[in-house]
Amino acid sequence: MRARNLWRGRVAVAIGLTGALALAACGGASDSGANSSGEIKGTIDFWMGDPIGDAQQPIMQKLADDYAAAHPGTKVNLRFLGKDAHQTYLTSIAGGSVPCVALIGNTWTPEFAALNALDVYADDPKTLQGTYVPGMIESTIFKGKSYAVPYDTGVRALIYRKDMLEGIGKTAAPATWEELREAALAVQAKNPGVNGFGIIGGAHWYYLPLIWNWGGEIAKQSGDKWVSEAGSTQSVQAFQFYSDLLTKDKLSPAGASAWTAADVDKSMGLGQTAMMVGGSWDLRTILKQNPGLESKLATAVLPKGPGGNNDTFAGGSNLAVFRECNNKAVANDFVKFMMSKENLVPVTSNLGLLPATNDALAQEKATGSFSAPLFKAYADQADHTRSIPPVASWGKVEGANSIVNAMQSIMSGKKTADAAMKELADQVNQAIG
Amino acid sequence: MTSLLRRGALFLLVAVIVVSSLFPFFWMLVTSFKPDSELFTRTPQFIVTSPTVERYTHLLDGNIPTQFRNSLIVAVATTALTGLIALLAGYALARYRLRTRHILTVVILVTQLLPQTILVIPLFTLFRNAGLLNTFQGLTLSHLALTVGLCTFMLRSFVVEIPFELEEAALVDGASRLRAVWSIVFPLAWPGLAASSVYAFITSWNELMFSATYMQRPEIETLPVALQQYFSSYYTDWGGVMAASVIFTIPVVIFFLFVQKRLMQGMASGAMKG
Amino acid sequence: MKTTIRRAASSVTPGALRERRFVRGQQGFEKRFLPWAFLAPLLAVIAGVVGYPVLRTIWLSFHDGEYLQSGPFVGLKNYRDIFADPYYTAALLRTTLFAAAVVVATILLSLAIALVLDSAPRAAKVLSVIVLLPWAMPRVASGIVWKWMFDDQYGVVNWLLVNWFGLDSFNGYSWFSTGTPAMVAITVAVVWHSVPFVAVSLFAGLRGTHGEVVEAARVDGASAWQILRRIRLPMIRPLLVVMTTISTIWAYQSFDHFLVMTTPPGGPDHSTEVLSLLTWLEAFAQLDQGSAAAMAVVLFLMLAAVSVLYVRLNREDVR
Repeated sequence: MRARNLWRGRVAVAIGLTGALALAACGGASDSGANSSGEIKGTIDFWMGDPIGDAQQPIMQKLADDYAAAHPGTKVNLRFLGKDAHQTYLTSIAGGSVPCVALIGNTWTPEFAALNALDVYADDPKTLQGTYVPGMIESTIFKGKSYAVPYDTGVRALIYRKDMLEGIGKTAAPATWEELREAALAVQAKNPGVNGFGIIGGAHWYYLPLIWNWGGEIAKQSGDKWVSEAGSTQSVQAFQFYSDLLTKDKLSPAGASAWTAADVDKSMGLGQTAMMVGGSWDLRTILKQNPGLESKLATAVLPKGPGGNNDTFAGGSNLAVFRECNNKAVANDFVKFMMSKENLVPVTSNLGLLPATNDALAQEKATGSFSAPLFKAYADQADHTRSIPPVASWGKVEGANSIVNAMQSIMSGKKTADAAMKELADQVNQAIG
Repeated sequence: MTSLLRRGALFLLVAVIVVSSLFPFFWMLVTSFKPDSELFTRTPQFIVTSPTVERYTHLLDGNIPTQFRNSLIVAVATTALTGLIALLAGYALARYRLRTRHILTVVILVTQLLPQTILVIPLFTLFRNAGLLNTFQGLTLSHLALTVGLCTFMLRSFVVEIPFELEEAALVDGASRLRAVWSIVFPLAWPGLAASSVYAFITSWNELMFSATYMQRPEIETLPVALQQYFSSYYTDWGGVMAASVIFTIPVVIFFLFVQKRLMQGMASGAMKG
Repeated sequence: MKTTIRRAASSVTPGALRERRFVRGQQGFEKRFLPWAFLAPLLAVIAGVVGYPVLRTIWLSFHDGEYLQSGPFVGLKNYRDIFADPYYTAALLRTTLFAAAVVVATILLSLAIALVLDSAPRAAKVLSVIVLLPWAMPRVASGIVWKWMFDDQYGVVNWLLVNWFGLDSFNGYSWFSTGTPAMVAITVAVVWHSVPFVAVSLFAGLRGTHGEVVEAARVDGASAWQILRRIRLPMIRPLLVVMTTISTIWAYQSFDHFLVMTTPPGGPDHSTEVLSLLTWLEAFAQLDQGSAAAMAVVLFLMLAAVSVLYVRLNREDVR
């Protein structure tokens, strides 16, 4: 008897809550307006991932509303994805529930095209030349065709505290990584509580280009295959150098091995970090958080490595129309709308990115947001960029976080740089081979 | 003296329990009202000096109301269907001596210990083929898999407690079995139904894995998925995500506080019988 | 759980005797048909969204499954692959350690809280509402708030450790940059969420043990501690076993906290990858459903083994 009452008591206690049992029919999802007649009518879904600042949501919402207002009978549903955006896209591609239009990372474009998920934008990518930034056109190409429209592009440069560098007697930005290390150590010694250099262990964009700066390559083409160069001496030294900035020189708190740019932006905004590698969008985030820093901050092109260059990635996003979109008429029209200069520039300048069309870019450089002294370095850095290996499966490397994991295992001392980089090379080869 | 000491120690323990239970709620709420300048401080500010509701108004203008509605639709549908299915099945298991009952019991028990990961892949392909991806029906069905087993057991044990004489009397008076169930058992099983409803509602409202996998359209996204997506690798709007979490938490907590009296009654009766 | 129910079902009450006689007297149609009609919806749900997926997952685990499309039969290849994968075996071990930590902490804390509630009968009503409250906070929300509390620079946990406990090494200590501290932080969050249910259940169980036996022992001069150890805890032992089983199953399935609290999910450097998360990522980020299915089957077998073990334990206990 007791056991039974215990059971009952347990049930009553555990879950002994009550509530109105409102009966509601299962509502079906409102079907996105199917439209095959080519008429500009109906609804489309527009997704974008990993917002780079809190300005993105409102401005995109406004564009979507503007579009709907200009085209009665249409509606654009927005969805903002978070840090697992790449995975969400893959899941939805596998499930056949894709958006109509998406703003996707440029490195993902060939991958999604290879999954047969995207509509061809141009059969001959040459026709895009002249209109779009060359580096960005490349990122849209898979097997000779272009699958997306270059939308925005961004590069990273050095952001630093002019006042703190002056405090140690430096009037110019460090020109090499070694100089940067020394300057950071000096600043740190002089300003207790300040991080000499903001290390970003959690995002590979901030240190993978060091391989180039050290004179190495990320991957080399042999025949029609790509082979990872992550195990090369230059790659190992580059990663070792970046890791040492944290573990030996302690230029950031130990937690920086997992930091993303957001953490460094925050720290910079609070005046707790002296230098960082950051995009123009990071600069905007910092200034928004702490406008008083504007007079104290300066930017410069990135320092050079032993390899004699300071090349970095051309990051950016492309606008793609998905093949399984059921309202291509509106989708294509919406893309056109988004790409017009008067709609593009407000977005990119607000986010701190460069537009990927040549005419808008020229305008931004000459008179627009990138003509300001603080942003000039970005325009200069844009001439020193390289692309990642143009293979469809590069997304897999990013998706598996192999590069971040390699760096973090060096930083934690779990593996030697040699071992970690050899393993990374194997993983990359497996993914892209 | 020892008694005083004992009381003091007890009081201290109670205080520790209360604070550690409630602090995260408090902190979530406080953070959501702090302007950014008070948010990022080395020494935590336990009192908001200039609270802002901007985050809430901003959220309410965005997708949150839709996501809230979506979560509610799925949770309510799951709760209603679970209650119906589990009450019928619980009644059958309590009142009939089926030869297969033993097997049924084992089968139902096994459903309760299944890892969600064993269900998530085939349901994805099943829903994809049946056009149930991105529908409330699909997600509700998948949530039923998580709720019906335990709820059937709960209701079964409640029906067992209802004296059979009452039903018998109705049957003798000429009522059909179904009618007897409807007019006698259903009202008496109400507390059990309420308990199972709460379980079903909370399970469905909180569920993340199925929702994140099956609901991929902005207009039908549910709250847990939307919340998870607040974390960008470029920046995290801590204040915003806290405000959204508060909105997400409120219904369950209100629900909970609203029914806690019944909970106490259940405890009291359980204790008396023990 | 199983034995409890079986016992309840077999206890013959007068009402049940009458019932049996009565049911025997019913028409064959109703006796045969009606219970199955009542059971039909449940069976349909179990067959459709539980039975089929389980069988299908087992089937998938023996087939190739790139890009979530089922390919040819590959025998045990998927199983060999996952066990050859050091990240998987590490996750297996990690999940087991994590589950052990969560279960031990949950049961001990819950028992302690239940005893405190039991010693404060007048406040117990209000207190149990407060204790149960964290259970009502959605897991995703609790993951978010704990992540914020464990923030290295602005987190209240580090502040507390430094300023209240004088542990200066926690100044700016980063919980999420390496595996072990990250697992500790997540364990705290998960335990905070799983204690309430268990604590209040144990409290209800303990209340049921105030009876003649305890009174008699008290009259005989037994100390409160003796009564607790010798009489009351053995009385709630079946309940403890059930709660341990439930917590173990929950802990092994933990997913939400990990997805929310770690960047990238399971990181840094795979150091917080647990089975549920790894399986899900394998399926929906790597799109390899074959390996993912094999992982799911292994987890299922492990949970089944754990449950059988506990049920055995309980049964012996009853004897």
